[in-house]
Amino acid sequence: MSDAGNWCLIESDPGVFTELISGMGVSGIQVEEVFSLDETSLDKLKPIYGLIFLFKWQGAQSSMPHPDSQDDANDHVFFAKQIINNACATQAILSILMNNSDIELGDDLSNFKSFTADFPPDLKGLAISNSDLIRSVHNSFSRSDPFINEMQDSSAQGDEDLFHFISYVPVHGALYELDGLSSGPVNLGPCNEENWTEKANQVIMERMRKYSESEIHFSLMAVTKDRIETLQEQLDEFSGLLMSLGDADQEQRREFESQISILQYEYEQEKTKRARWKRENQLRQHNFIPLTYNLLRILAERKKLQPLVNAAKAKKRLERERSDKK
Amino acid sequence: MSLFPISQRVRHLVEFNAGKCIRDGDQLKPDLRKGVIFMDQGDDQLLHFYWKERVGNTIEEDLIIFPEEAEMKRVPECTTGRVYRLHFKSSNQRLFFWMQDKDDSKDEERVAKLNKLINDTQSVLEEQRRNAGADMEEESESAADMLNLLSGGQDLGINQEQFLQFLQTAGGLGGTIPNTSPIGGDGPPNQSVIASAPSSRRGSGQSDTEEQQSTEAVRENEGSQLSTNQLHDLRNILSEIRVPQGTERTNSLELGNVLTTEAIRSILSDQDIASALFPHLPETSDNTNEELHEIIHSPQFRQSLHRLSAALQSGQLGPLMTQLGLDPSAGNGVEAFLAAIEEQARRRDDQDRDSMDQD
Repeated sequence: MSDAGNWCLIESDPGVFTELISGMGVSGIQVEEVFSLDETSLDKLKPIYGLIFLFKWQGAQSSMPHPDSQDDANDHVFFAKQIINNACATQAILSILMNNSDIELGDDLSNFKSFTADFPPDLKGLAISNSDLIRSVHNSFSRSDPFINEMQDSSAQGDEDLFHFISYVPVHGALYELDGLSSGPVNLGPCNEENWTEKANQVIMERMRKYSESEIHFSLMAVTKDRIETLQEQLDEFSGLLMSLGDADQEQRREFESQISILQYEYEQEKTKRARWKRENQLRQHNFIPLTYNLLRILAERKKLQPLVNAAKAKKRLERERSDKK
Repeated sequence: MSLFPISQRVRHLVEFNAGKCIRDGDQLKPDLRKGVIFMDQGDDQLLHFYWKERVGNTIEEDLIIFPEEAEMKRVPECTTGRVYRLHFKSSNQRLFFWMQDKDDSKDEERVAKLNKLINDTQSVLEEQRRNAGADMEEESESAADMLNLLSGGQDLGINQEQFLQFLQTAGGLGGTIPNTSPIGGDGPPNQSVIASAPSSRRGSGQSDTEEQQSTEAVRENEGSQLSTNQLHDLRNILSEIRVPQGTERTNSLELGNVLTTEAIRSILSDQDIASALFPHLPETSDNTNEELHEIIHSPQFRQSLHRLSAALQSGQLGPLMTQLGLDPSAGNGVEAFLAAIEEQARRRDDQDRDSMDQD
């Protein structure tokens, strides 16, 4: 991770990732945080295009050995070496987008994919870090990281390898682990569209088990089809089924109707969530310096600033004394 | 329009005495009035070429020159006077001037300086600032130095020109960057950059209104320019600044400690204050008290306070402080920043009292 360049660290948040993906011109994709690894919670999110396992590590002692690539998968798997650490979230997302032919990449990323198709992994990584499009979209979300307090751990200081993102993605009937720090894609064995998340879960749980011993924070994100689209399709399907039912089949009718109301509820939930994400992103991207300055200025003009400063200082002093006593 | 009140000596990027030449058929005749050629960045941030009579403030020629668009050259055919031609490559427009400084030995130097300004505006701006005098040292940080300073030696992906642009916009109210505005040097004392830049740039009538505005109890327009999208870069700068470690943090005051939720709640109930803050909310926000309240309590605002505190504590924001009309020393930490805001309010208070006394 020689050159951090001008890649900002971005917040690991599904709302940020979702907007980042659409900012790169990819349509119909959403990122969801997965809180539970059981199959039912994952089933709800399907279709899932890939999983991103992300964790914060503390120095080298907890680093996993990176198994070497077992096959010449680079031919059919998009794999890029991680060049810039701050870009690792974006890179993990790209690893999933680029490896699924069902995803509409949009012009920019399609061009990027074909342009870099024959590049070896390190050049692909370099191409990502040099892409103006990817960088500018990435950088439009500046750092306001939920881990920010943890970043001040003494062990974290000066250590750029704070976050690590590993993608799991099914490609051509095999599950691959794509870790920008290893030498190539790792083939985790055959899978199909139905069972790949189950297989990925086993691997992820194994990792979590190891890391939980060394108190590492981790989370899991799923790159899915746009939930609103998915729910809309399901709603349409049930409405169609309902209409095709004869009057006689009351039981079936009730069944469908209750399905529809559940879906409608989820659909509304999803809309609300999107609105919240949008707002959060706007606030993330807003420059609060003028607001802060003017707030302070008005306080000063009303002679209210000094008392607040004095109070804050007194409180600090008290805290300090208290911690000194300990 | 009178651009430069004569009472204020404004340092121009290039300035020398020259008269115009009037074209009369095939012949050039000198316009005998005493004049001066000078160049500056206009309020539009573009490079302007001006000619006016030495006495008075009426600009007779005001031409926008884009980089490398024009060149000034001696007209060798004219043997009776020192005549120079300003030639616009784009339009083939030509203007002729005759040198009026007694000492002709500097002619070529002056013209070379002018040409250099046209060809390489940025480096001239920097040089100008370096020469601007010792007491202006803080403000005269060259853009490159500042950029370097802010980025901690890293490439921020913005070039110097964009950065200047952003500083200029940040200066607000169409003011220019400090090097051409008379801070520390010629301006009236105790005036902030924001207030002095426009008043030195505009006609006296206009500057009166400016003054009036700036004595209003609640100045909502100041700093508002900072919220433009061009300030994305600033955000990037802030995000590049490493947040200091926990131990340091507990010892130093943070803006969040001062702007506690309780403290803010009580002042936001004042409608005047709330309204004055509306322009600084995100563009998509409703201008309502509830919205303001919600935003100020949002984790994003809190995080922004935290980052700004860290940036202030790192001492890297000094040069930007002048854009808020604060002394550069305000960038030396959170407490210095708060003290500078206090000082600024006190100064305005005094000014208000003075102006009231005058009335």
